Amino acid sequence: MRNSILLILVSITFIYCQNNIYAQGERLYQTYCSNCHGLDGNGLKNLYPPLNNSDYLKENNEKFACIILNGLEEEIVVNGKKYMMPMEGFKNLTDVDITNIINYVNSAWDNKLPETSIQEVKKNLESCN
Amino acid sequence: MHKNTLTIKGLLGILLIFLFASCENDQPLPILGEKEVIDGVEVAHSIPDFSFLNQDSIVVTNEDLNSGIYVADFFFTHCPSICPLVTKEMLRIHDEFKNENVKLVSFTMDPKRDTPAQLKNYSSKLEVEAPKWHFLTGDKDKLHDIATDYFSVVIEDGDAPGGFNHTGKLLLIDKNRHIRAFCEGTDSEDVDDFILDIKKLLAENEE
Ligand code: HEC
Repeated sequence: MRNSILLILVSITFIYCQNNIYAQGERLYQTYCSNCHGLDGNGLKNLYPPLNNSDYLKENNEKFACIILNGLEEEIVVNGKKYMMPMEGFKNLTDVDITNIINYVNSAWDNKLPETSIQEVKKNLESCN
Repeated sequence: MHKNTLTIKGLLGILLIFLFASCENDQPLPILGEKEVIDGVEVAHSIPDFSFLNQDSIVVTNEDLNSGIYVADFFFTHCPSICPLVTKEMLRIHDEFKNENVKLVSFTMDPKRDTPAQLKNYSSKLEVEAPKWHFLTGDKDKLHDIATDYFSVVIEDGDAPGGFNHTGKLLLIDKNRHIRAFCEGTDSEDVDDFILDIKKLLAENEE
């Protein structure tokens, strides 16, 4: 009896932690990104590109950290649609913040993109142009 | 006897329905804003004359808008903060009243960057068109002044995101230039209520 209660508690905590594994990143996303890209990650018309199921993000995941830090201002094609509107960078975010946001977005909604680490983010940030 | 109670119950029921219906629709929307006293007469607040260029470089004045009702907001295309949220709600209103006599008007606060060409670029990406939805630009001081008439605050501030501090209100203007309702354009539940206000004003116009 004791054991089963313990087991239930452990599994509840486990499931809870699983869901909130990127809680920090989610909060940062809602503060800095969702106004444009949407809480659902689907963007807005041809103005703001989606981050959910974005083929651009999938193919350019190593650029993700640089996009957050420095923004993006070039014509890009996301899921067959052209986008050309400057996105300003977020110079105030730390490497840890950026790692948290990437890990949240990469696994949010329908996304199944790989998890990153602070080391990898630091390395990618060194090669921003 | 039995039949009588049934009719009474039925009548009561109908009465209740009427009462409910009249509760729903009780009062017309108020006319908002400070009253001014002109020559000793109290005059309700109204939107003054203006003349700005829209995204097709066509002059738009108050007269062009007063054939029906319209929803106004203040924004700028480079806005990194709340504007995209407000624009998304404006788009929801646009879609909801597509076939109704309701126009939308977005005044830029940043005419230096928001030329008619830039506004055209923005509106076509949003897949909307004048005269249903005007994006207006012109003299900066005039745009910032008219904001006050729309209960909106615009302050140029180099430290603010994008260079302007501003409110994200949506305003509902009737045929007589009076402001009849407003809401926070960042709060989609508030916008739900605002959409009901728009329906109410449309019904008032049809009477
Ligand atoms: C002010 C609106 C705005 C905000 C806020 C914003 N973005 Fe963007 N974002 C854009 C625009 C516009 C583009 C397209 C840029 C271009 O055309 O060069 C874009 C492009 C992107 C892209 C590449 C295209 C894609 O869809 O895969 C990524 C990734 C991205 N943003 C992530 C973020 C993240 C993460 C944040 C928060 C830290 C954020 N953005 C905040 C407007 C914004």
